[in-house]
Amino acid sequence: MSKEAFLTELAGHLKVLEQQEQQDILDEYAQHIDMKIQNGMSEEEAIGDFGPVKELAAEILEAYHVNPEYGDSSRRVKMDFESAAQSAEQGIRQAGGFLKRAGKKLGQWLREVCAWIGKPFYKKQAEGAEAPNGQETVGQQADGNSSHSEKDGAGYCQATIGGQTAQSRQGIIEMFLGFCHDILKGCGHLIASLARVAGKLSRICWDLLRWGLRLCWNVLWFCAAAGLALGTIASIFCFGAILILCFQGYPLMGMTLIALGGILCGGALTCAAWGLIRRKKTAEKTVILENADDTDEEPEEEELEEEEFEEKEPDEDDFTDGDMEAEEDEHDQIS
Amino acid sequence: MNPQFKKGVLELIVLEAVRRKDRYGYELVEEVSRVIDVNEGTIYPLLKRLTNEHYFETYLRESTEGPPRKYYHLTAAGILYRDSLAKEWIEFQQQVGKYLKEGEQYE
Repeated sequence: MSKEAFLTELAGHLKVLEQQEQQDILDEYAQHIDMKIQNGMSEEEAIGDFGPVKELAAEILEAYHVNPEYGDSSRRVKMDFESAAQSAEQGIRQAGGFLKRAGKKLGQWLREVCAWIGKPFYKKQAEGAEAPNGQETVGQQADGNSSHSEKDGAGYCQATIGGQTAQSRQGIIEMFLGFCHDILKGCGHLIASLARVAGKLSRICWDLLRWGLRLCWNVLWFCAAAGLALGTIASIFCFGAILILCFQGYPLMGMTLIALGGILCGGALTCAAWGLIRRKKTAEKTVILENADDTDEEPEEEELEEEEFEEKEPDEDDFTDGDMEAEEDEHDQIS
Repeated sequence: MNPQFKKGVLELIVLEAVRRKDRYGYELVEEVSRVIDVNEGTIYPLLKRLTNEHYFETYLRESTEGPPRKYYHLTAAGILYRDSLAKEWIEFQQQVGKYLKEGEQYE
């Protein structure tokens, strides 16, 4: 690492410090490195003696009681995106897992169906082998698929479950339903992960939007206030000038009255705004005070009720009395 | 040399070195290296911390061999701190030495 690179990297970690401090520190290090080079060391060695730049920077920042992780806001934003990407990845992987299982089930189901379809041919061969009469086998073959479908159902059932035709058909239907269920689950997970990512992005967008709106709102009000002030001052000036002109004989009575009206409007609006701001501030203060008062008053009322109910027991009476006094003291201190 | 030992005593040595004579960074590293082996990565942050805690004052003095150098000088608070550290060190050394000496009879 060259001296420049070392100093630049160190400066990057020390960005949180004041410019003057940063410069002091960097100058001192630069001097130290120069002196070591003068005394015969190579640049690499001189810099190596400092150890890793990050640790060095962290120790320097500790001297200022600064959190070494402070300047990493860009890293934090990057981490937000990274975490969003990670959760998206996870969701997709889960969805992928489900889809894989669904796919496997689909494959199984297809195989079963093929076997089911292919059963009659195998069965036919078996029957053909058993029946000694060639004509009967031909006749059986000539029956067509319609009768075979029922016999096939029976055959399949005999081969696998050994029950009734209805049961075998039900088994296939169940498999089909199971496969549909898995597909739907996979789709559901995919949609959920997409929704999560979309949610995070929308939250970021929403925050940006709110910030932008607030900025626009503040700018608007600032412009309005500035305009009002300028308008009032301008109208005062105009009023004065036009009044003089009026006295000098020009027919400017109307304009004078307009300027006067402008002054009064501006002044009234300013006073109104001032009053509103004042009221808002005092409203906030009273709300805070009311909250404090409420929490103080309620227990006092409860204490009073307790006192009424527990007059017979002297011990508890004393206890409640003591508490009441404590509450009153607190209340007095606050008010 | 055990790094924990070095770490514990580094502050005291630095304070002592500056007490004897105002020094600048490079000179101080050389002086401390005569007592214990230490690297600049530890010394400079330590100097910065002691300066921020007002045990050191710094001033610049022109030098014939380059840019002005920053010299460290021990403040009154620094002198008191150094004295308390030295006292603690001597006590500590005596305690540990005594314990080791006792242990000789167990060999």
